[in-house]
Amino acid sequence: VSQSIEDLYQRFGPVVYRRARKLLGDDQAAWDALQEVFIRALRGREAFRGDASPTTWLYRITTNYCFNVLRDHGRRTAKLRDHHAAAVPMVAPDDPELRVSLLQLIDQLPPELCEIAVYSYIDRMTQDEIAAVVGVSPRTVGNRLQEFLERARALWASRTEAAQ
Amino acid sequence: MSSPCLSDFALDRLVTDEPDATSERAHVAGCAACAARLDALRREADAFRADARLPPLVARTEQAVASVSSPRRRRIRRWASASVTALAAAAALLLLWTRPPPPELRAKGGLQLDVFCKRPSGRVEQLLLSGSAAAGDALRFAVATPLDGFVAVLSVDAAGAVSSYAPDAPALAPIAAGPSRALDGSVELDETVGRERLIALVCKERLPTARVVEAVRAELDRVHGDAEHLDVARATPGCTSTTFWLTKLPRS
Repeated sequence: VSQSIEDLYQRFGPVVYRRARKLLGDDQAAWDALQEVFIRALRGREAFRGDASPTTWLYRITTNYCFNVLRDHGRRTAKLRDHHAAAVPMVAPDDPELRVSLLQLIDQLPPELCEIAVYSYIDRMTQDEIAAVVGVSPRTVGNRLQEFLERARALWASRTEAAQ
Repeated sequence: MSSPCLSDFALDRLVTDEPDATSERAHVAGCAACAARLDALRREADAFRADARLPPLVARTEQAVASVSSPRRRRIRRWASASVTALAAAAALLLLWTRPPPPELRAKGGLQLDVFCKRPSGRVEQLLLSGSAAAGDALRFAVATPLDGFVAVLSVDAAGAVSSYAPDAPALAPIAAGPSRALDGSVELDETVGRERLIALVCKERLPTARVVEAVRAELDRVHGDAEHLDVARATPGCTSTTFWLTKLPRS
């Protein structure tokens, strides 16, 4: 078993690690995430379907785990929030009206919308790729992205109003 | 017009060497930008693999999923004495199984199928996530069940053939509720490559193996040979089931 676990780390570890580092914005946090992601994957492997690739499956587990970490950190202390806010990537960074930190959204919008937004805006995945990872149709991906944009813009507008 | 560059997600499927990432491979072969990005990702991957923090992490993960189980030792001896494969293969599997399969994997009490693969080199490993094996590899199975019953492991291969991998007997084998236990016998994979659905069934009654195989075959016909949509519960009422998807590769 240990040999197999080592094989898993050798094969998929680099991808999981890089993804965790990208979302968490912190090297040590990414190493901490690795073990949790692999344990979750092994515990939940009954849920793994052969029609998904292992990489696809691990992408999703890593994304959701990192969301949890960001959410917990954000709730814990303002200091951590500030630290992560500086490092965590921006969602929709190309849209000057909607430069929103993932951390700002994570408690404000439903996780299924944030997840798809991350795949689209941070990972630059195609709608077909997102559909494969999330297990929904490309049409649903498009709808959720649209909903994300509308709700994020509304959130952004209300914050701007409050600041004025 | 050339197609747009691949996302890191698509390139990651090459980093992890996924066998079905053929379109990604073809794109990279003709795209200098993607080839350069893939090289960079592979260099990062090599650096990760060489990182001194990795071995302790593997050890901690192993610790997190391992435990000592004395009943397992009894099972191992029984299984070894009933070995139907070469002694060397049994010894290799014994070595593997003296470290029991992860208890957390079955802590919630659902039916679970563990698949072990012996490569022609003699190396034995548990198939975890990737679930790929080649023609000529030998598979053995272990099943954990929350209820007493009678067990079988069936295969629906890429060509739509339904067969029983275990037990090699006219009727399903009795199995007691509890953690994962090895089933007698092994099966050598044939040359039919592609996705193969392995189904572990635990039934309340000791059904004839042929009847169960025939029921699954009929259900496969009903769904026009689409193994993914095969409804095992419909085919085998009174039984619980779980699936393991295997990618069967050509003989290496």
